[in-house]
Amino acid sequence: MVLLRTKGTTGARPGLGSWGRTMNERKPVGQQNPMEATAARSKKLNTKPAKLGRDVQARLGQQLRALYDDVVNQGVPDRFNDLINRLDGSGKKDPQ
Amino acid sequence: MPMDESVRKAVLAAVPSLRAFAISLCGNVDRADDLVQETLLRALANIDSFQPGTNMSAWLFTILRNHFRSEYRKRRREVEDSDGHHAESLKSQPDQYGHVEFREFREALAQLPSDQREALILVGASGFSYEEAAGICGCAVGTIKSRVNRARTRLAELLHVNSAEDFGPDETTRAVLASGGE
Repeated sequence: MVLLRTKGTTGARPGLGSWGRTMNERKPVGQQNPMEATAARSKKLNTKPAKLGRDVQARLGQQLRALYDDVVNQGVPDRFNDLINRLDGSGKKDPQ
Repeated sequence: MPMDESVRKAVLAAVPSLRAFAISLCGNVDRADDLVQETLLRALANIDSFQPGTNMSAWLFTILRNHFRSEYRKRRREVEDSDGHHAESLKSQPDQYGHVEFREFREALAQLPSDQREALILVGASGFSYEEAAGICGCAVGTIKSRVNRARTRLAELLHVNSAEDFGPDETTRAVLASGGE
């Protein structure tokens, strides 16, 4: 994961990761005034499902990453460390 | 064959994410780990074809995906019912990812068409750019974008989520999602 960096060419917003690319025409919830927020909400009822609010996308993204990171946080299981050690220098004793 | 230290480090650093991707493809930890192992063996046997300076993770993901696809094709019955089968295999193994509270989300994810799920995970979880994901999947950038969009829309439908309030705090989320689930 550390190796992966989003390329700076896409204009993704900091903190939003790859989910920040879409729905960028909509202001973050905190920056809407109440009337805009209401308008956005009522408008949402009429919009077709293809247009997800950025808040929904963000929450889906959080859940997806939580699920994924659950595995990532398990680190490198022994079998893969052993495999790499075995392939590296074929037969060389593992210092561990 | 002695391995270049930088290669060794880059390969090991990619393993956790490779596993997560493999589990999302297979829906089964044991099979996923076998897939990762086969991927590493193939990659290191062909390490000369890796271009130094390019993204090691993306290279390994590409090998893993291609290997999975060719293996998958051999198992015809699974291919014909890939998504339904995948969903069932996830359901029958509730602790696959370790946390019960992810169940509803995981099941919804499993119901996505495999190309959409794959695109969503590469971009939304693995942290690849659309361009890198397109490289890994061997398709156009626009195709990845449209798959990701369709995946998000479908997920929201499956989880009955129309706005962020529908998620609520954890307990509420579970109740809301569970009530729509089974």
